[in-house]
Amino acid sequence: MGRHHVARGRVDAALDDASDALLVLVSAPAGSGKSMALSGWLARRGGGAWYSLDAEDNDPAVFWPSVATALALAEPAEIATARDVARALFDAPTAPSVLVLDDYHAITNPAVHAGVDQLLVEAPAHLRVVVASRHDPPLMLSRLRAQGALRELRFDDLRFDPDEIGAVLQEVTGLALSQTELRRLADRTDGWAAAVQLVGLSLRDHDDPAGVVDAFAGDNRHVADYLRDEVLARLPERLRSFLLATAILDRLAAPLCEAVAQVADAQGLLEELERLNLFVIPLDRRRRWFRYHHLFAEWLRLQAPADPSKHLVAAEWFLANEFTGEAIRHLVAGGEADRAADVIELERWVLVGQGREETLREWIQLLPADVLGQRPGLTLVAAWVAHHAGRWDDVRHLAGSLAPDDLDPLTQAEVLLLEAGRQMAIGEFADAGRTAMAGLGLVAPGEPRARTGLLLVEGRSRLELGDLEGATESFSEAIALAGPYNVTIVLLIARSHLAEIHRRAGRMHDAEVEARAVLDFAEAEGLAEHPEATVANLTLASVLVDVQRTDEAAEFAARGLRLARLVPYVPRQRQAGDVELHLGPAAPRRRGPSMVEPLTGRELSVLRLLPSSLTPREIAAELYLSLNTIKTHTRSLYRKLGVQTRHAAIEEARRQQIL
Amino acid sequence: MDERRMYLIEVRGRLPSALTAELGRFELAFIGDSTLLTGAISDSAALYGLLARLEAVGLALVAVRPLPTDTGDRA
Repeated sequence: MGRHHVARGRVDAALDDASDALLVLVSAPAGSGKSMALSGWLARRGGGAWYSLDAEDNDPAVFWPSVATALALAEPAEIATARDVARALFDAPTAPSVLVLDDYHAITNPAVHAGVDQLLVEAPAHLRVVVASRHDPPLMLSRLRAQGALRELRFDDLRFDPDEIGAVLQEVTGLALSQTELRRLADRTDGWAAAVQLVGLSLRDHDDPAGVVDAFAGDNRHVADYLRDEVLARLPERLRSFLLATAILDRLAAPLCEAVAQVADAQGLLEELERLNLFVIPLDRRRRWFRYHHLFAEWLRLQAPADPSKHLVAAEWFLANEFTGEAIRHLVAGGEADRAADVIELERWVLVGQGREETLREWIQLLPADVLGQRPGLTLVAAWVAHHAGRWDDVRHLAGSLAPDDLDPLTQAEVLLLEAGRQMAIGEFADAGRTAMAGLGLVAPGEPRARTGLLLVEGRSRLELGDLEGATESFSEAIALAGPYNVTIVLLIARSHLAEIHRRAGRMHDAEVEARAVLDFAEAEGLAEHPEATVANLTLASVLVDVQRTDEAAEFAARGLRLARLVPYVPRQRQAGDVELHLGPAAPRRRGPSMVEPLTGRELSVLRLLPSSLTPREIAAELYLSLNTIKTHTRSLYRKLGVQTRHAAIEEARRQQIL
Repeated sequence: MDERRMYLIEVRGRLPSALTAELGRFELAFIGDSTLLTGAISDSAALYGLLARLEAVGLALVAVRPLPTDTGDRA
């Protein structure tokens, strides 16, 4: 911990030894010394990439650019997927060969797990990914294990033995304890890193070390109580109150701490705590951001009486500094869920405009249920999340649940936009156009919110009904409106369709130029893997087939067809069907019917247990769900896979490479 | 949704004293080196939440057992 690392011979050797593994999994409980062991190993081997995850990383649009930054890849903001990272690594021979993903248990989104699996497969062979987590993550562990490509370090491997405890205590206190004392400590702490560190802290400046060891080994208080009684109690008041006041913060910066703890020189205090080995970990080299060791922070929070006003001060600071996610968390913790909801509602246009609905989903999950049901704006946020996932019935249900009379015109237009988008998605093109037109009547011509989206639906509807000129008008107006605000998703959709209009009008050269420009734009904005990137890929594929460049066409067709399958959306699936016909024998063959509707996270977790010998009742117990819920999920996933039996479901899922 | 039912949860070691107050709705018992918590839990989300809380303060989970429903009236 801190600046010093006690050499951990066994752990280092195991990590060095894993140089042929694709994945090193460090799976052990809180406080067992995962981060400490890994950062020490990295420092001793001369560095590597390090990324600490938190809940925000469940959004792939946050996760992948951050991984790229940690790997020091060029232009990380343009990296949107595992594949982008893998490619960029091939172009960066000097990039680190070790990537540590710390606190991986924060990830719950299956899309991120799937991406990490993909990275393991596609990255250059010399890259070693090290995942540190409190639980075994749902990555393809059994496959890697079978290939001999997985190394594991578990709690037993991380446990401090008596010699290592001796080294830690010597490092922290300068004292050498006897073998007997060390063995007793190993016994009492169970080799648990956090407890060993605490003993070290209470030994420091103590005139009777043997007595401390005796007391610790002989009592059965929880170590959190030991921390309070023996460590915190002996700290100077200014440090103790600073620790207790700032324990609510997941990360610490001096100005933030000064606001929350009402002290003057927080930077000095933080660096002092770091020097004292008080579980403060710097997050960057310039020591601007720190965090407490997670377990230590939990123990501190146990000692500090809950004080909502501190959360609110923190929330104000995060809001003022535009860390919206953290602001929302602190507003909720401070009892101001309604203000948190205000913030989410305000941000929704920005996030939807950037294709970041996953972040919205994370945020609304933080809100208490009673707030969720009370606010039309939040219902609309939930509808956008459903829209993004292609859950069209939910979109209709959510948007339709609002009484139009209670809504202002802009919000009414938003409801119509969601409905028009749904109609477009399920192939009701004429209705979609009419709904969009009704919505357009409600928003002022210069208003980008709702209006740009409505123009896109209007344009799509006109295009499907053969009105190329009208469609061009709609898309051009959307671009003019979205351009100044750089609403990237609108620009992507509108420009993709303009390329497709060129193609349908026979202007093949213009179509190719525009489609390529759009794909570059999508790449640059991190939208290359967004379902809305389907159209540009497929348009370009069609154009290339037309001019007999079949090989090149196949590449874009493959990508377009893959993206078309992400979300059920009739116009894109039609276009995909056309491209497949068009490409003829050169088309990458779809293997059987593709899945129209993607599986939900719950359905995926049920699916993963199907190949086991568990009965449905046992699966229910395994997932902590009721038997009925399991049956519902099973029926729904059979339907989506187009199968009738468990065996067929497993076969089909394997063929589609979901399993 | 899932029904409210009684659970027995065993963790290794003693609970931190501040947590004892926080978990006041559970009956606590100490057996050997373990703490046993017994109490009603409303649904699986609440169960997951409790397990996450215990994990976050560093208590190693030994067992989680739903109790037969006929003892549910006792609480």
